[in-house]
Amino acid sequence: MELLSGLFTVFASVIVPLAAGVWLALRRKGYIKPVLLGAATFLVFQICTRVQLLNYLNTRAWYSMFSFSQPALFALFLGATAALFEEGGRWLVMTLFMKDKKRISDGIAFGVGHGGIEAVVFVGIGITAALIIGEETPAFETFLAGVERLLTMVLHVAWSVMVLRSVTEKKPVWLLVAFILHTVVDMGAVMLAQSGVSPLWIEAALLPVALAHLIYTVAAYRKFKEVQHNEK
Amino acid sequence: MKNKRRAGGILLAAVVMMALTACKPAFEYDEDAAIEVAKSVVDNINAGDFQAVEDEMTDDMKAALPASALQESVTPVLEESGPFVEFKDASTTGVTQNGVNYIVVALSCQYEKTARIYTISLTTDMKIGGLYVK
Repeated sequence: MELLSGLFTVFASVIVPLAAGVWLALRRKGYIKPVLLGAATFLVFQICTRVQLLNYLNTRAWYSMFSFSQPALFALFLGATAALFEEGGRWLVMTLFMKDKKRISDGIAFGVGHGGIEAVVFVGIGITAALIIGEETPAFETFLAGVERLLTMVLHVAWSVMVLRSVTEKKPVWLLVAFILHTVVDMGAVMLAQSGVSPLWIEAALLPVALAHLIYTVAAYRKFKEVQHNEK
Repeated sequence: MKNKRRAGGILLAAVVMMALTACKPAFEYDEDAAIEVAKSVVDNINAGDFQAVEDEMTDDMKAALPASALQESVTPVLEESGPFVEFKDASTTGVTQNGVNYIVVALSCQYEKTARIYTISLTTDMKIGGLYVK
């Protein structure tokens, strides 16, 4: 059972992201650039900046006290900073480097890159290493980690589409929507964990949210695919 | 646009007010004394004198975490951290749980290999009611 769940999570957090990125690149429609930019955005605006900031804050007594005494505000802080760094990073990168990439499918590719590399870094590398060295991992939690990565990639794709629309359509409201949704999702997950809700129910709560985001992405693609086709 | 900015400003002010109000401790206590007691607990842990730590615990805490159990759980953490270097900073708050007032002290400590945060709950007569290291 542990092996099966480990293999599933490797599939979800390594194989799927890499395969999606490679498939997009092989389609020769210029998707390799947004995929790589999406991945770079995560690495720069999360790993190199926000994660380092949080690591530093975790050594400060006042921050520890804040997390203990103000759990709701702490959850809001975590959610809002994640949204600020990631959606802000998406906006900045898209504004500077994707002037020639205005298709909804470019936003989808960006999200695949961003969510994909996040899955690899946060879960994929660790679980792959554990399987290789034969380290025991709790089967159900490992399985849930894989599920979470798949759902999170769906979210990143949708938010990337929203932010791209804010840039190409010059409608900042889409950036605000992505920021708010990201904040609420992350804050909600933290608060559920703080309340002792089991990871199973947290992922169960995330599922309809991810489905709604998927519906948005599909709808946006269908709506604007026609427009972009006509513009060619 | 002006109305939206105004609404945003009011919302931000409300959040800040809530945060400041929520930060007020539930009761008055001597913060400096609490921090000194917390530091002495950490000093005893660093010195390996777990019995001295147990002696300062409440009866409930002694039953839940006697010296032997404390040693068993903390020793691997200390080995991983390396020698103690210095206290970095401290933060306190007062909480009431099940009708009992606790002073919670978060103490940031620098060890040779890493930093650790001790969260120590003290009763109003400075007895240890909770101890957590991360």
